Amino acid sequence: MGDLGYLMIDNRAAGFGLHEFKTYTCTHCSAVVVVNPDRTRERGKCFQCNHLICDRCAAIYASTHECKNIIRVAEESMRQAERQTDGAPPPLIILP
Amino acid sequence: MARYSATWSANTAVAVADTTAFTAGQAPGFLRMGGATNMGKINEVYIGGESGASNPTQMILARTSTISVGALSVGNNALLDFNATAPGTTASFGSTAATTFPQRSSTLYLLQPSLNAFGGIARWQARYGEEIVLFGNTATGGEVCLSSKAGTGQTSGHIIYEVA
Repeated sequence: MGDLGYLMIDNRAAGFGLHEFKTYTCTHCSAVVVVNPDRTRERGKCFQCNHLICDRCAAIYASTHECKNIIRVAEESMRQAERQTDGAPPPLIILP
Repeated sequence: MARYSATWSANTAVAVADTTAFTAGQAPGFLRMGGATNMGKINEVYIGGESGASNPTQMILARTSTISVGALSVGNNALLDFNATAPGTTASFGSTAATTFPQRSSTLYLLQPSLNAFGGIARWQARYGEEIVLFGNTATGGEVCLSSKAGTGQTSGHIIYEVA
């Protein structure tokens, strides 16, 4: 199925069909988007993390132009938790 | 990264509404990260239907708006490579929470692999680098639940994920 994710729903045992879909995962919220091959409207894309995002995050991104990549958010949250565990004071310089 | 398979067997789902606390065994399971510095990445979800008659079941993998508290049980959580060194803090998986049951978020649905549990199969596999990310051990990032919103199918299956 190319270079996307893959969703398969097989209901043949119940007398229905086999359905296969391409998917991608929004890098801002981790929602899995089933790709509608008939869609003509442009998909949301974050130009900072250079990845497709879901329609909901695309609407937020369009108004804020801020990349909320979930890996970055997770790493920042984990770093903060580590600092709290260490008891070290927060850094004086905030790096971009 | 240590990869795990969280599995459940012959779970009969109960249709539970969003933001309603689950009770024991109502859902295949809840996957919760083990600590504030844990990050998990789900790259496969497989659900196999085992009902004896037609039973359309609307399974949903969603984040939880109220996180579970206490040990999670009923369900297995196995390190895929038994030679691998497990991280210091591991994730938990199960359909029963010792203290507080989680509640499914009404907005943060991540995947909806609906199937007819009469022999139906639903399988999702992420593209490499596009895994579903969990982090920390607080709502709403630290836990997901796989549960039914409509339908009461019996299923078994697994969630493959890795912990950093």
